[in-house]
Amino acid sequence: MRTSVVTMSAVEPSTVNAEREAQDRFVQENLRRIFVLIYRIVGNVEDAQDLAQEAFIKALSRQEQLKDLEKAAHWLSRIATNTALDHLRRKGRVGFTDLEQIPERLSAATDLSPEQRVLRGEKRAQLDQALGVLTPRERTALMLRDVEDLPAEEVAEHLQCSKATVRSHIANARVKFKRYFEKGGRP
Amino acid sequence: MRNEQHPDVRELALLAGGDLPWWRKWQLTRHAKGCADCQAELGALKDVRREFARAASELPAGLDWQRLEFEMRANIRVGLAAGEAIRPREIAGRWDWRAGFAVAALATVVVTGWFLGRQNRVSTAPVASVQAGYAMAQSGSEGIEWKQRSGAVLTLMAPAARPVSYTVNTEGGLSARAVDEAGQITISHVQID
Repeated sequence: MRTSVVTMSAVEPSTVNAEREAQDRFVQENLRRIFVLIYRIVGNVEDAQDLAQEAFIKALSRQEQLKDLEKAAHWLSRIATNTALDHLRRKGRVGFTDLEQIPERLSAATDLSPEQRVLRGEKRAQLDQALGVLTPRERTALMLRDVEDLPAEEVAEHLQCSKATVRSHIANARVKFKRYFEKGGRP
Repeated sequence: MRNEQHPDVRELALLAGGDLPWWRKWQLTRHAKGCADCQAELGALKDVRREFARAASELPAGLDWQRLEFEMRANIRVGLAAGEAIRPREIAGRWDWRAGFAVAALATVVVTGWFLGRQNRVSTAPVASVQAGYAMAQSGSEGIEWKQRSGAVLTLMAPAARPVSYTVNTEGGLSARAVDEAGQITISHVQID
């Protein structure tokens, strides 16, 4: 009997390409949303960039989670939220960095007049300051509920707390926000 | 609920986002309809919520998103490649139950074949011999050796380094059977009268 040794790759090249394409599409569809979510929680572009990348790498390292894209997007939000909160826990405080400090990432928005840019910049600065008034968990709960539009039950799952606690965070955050703008300006 | 018993502002904040249980929601909505203060408070909270949702979903002012996005996508790709390089291969994890079954079946065939082959294996020592008068046929390492008492020896060679199976019959015959690399079967038979 002649013994033949045939070496085969465990994964076909076409499968690898398809996986990579799915990954790229997933990143493209969710990157902006996840970056903004993390940025609003940590309040810092540099950290938000690192943490968003980390969240995607964690998510994409487990291919089986990408089969259902809708579930994968929720799962990614969850990873992003936990990654951001862990970061804040490690750091111990929130640093809302002024964007002027990172000029290499700045570019003038060409479609806006200088006045509009100033107004828009002021509004966003106010928003950042107002978010700084909230606790990390209040900020996260508010982002997930009002921006990500998740129901309170899912926000509770993300934050690993009860629905009543989430409601308390959301109520506190909205009231603090309103008071902040009543005192200092408008959102 | 009477007008002078205003609900807590935190409850109104929850009502503004539709986050109250239906019964409490109905109670507060009913109260707000008849209470100008609570209606105004509720309206302001709804405005704040709407404006927050709009503003908070925007990118930070002045951020070069295209550049940042490109950089982040490249970093994610590098991170995944690095993770792939250091991660131990999980080939077993990729196999489904059918592949496992095929491997088990193949292993069974190999073990059975080895076991059966072991039964037919012949040692180099003589295992069979036939003797009649002055002649003797005996199995050897290279095939059947036919010896005479005078000392003459005739060897019917089997293919080199191939297992040879021997059969002795009751009529004084000795057969050797071997298969060479090309699949050619050689059968030598010696009958001593």
